[in-house]
Amino acid sequence: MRPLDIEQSTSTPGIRFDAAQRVLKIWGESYPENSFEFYAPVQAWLKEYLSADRTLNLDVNVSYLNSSSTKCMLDLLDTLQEAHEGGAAVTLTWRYDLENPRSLDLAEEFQEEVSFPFAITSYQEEKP
Amino acid sequence: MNAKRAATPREAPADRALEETRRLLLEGEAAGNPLAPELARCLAFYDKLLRRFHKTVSISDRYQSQLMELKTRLEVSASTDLLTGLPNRRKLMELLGAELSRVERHEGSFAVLIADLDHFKGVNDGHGHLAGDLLLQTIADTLRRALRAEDACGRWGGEEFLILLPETDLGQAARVADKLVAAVRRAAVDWEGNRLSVTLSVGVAAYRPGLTLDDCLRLADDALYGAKHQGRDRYFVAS
Repeated sequence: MRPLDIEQSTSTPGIRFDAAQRVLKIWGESYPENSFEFYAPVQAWLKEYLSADRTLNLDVNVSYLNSSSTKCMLDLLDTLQEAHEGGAAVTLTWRYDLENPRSLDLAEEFQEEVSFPFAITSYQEEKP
Repeated sequence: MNAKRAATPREAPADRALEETRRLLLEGEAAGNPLAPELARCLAFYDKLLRRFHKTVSISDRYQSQLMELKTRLEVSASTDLLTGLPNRRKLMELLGAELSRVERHEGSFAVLIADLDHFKGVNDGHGHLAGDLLLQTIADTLRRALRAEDACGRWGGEEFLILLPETDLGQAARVADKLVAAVRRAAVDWEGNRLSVTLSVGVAAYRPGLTLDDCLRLADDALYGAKHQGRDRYFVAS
């Protein structure tokens, strides 16, 4: 599988695939000038990966998505949902900030759209 | 922050195209129209697209509310003095400006007090900055409690406070200053077995038509100098 490694910037999230763990991480904030252009290679990579490998955990730690990024994120979830329905072992971990009262609601909004395992976990819960 | 949660459009509003196509499909199916299965597929696509549209809007609204709440928090912290919780100098300038334009429009008056703690440096030097900070917080609470709700009291500088008294003339302002000087004289904090207290000097000035904000502040500052010069622990009214 070809690597995927997009460096984080102020307005775009970092996106990296860890081949050993089979984890695709997305973190940061997302309000690119052109979200569709930004997410197109990610979507293409995801489709290509899922056509060959059937196991993936998407690890999302994003505190802000603008409207078009939200659309793109939902499109990524659609791709995962399709793979799940085709028998792939896809899971998702959505990380949210316990201090931010709205971020759990947001996580649940995304969770409602899919039926594969979707874990919602706060930063605080991870601290020992 | 317990802001009210934005209502989520759980049930999408009625969509005319969807309703019409559904009706058309039912008719087509009843009539055995060969295009009915195609139409059913299109209807499913459209229905999904519509739900996705509402979902995206709903999520975006939540992110927007999140941003607006953050903005409110930042605005509060940008106008608040961290140590005392009082309005900071920036906020005071804003309040003074608003008060000035109010009286210029409606022929009112307001008074400005500049209050400075006497020999405060001695507290910091003798007992440390933590003791000084605690005393500053106590004095801030003392001043705040001695004032009316509509009066503004903020931290003007290190150990300087500015009090804005709306609808107040020079005589009334002098009585307020007297009350504040007495209240601070009584205030004290316990620090490592010592009773720390401090006194207050206050300069009193009132707005008169034709004065600028800088004029008012200079009058209050000069009056403060008068109070210091006459021996501190007192107020002095600008002439």
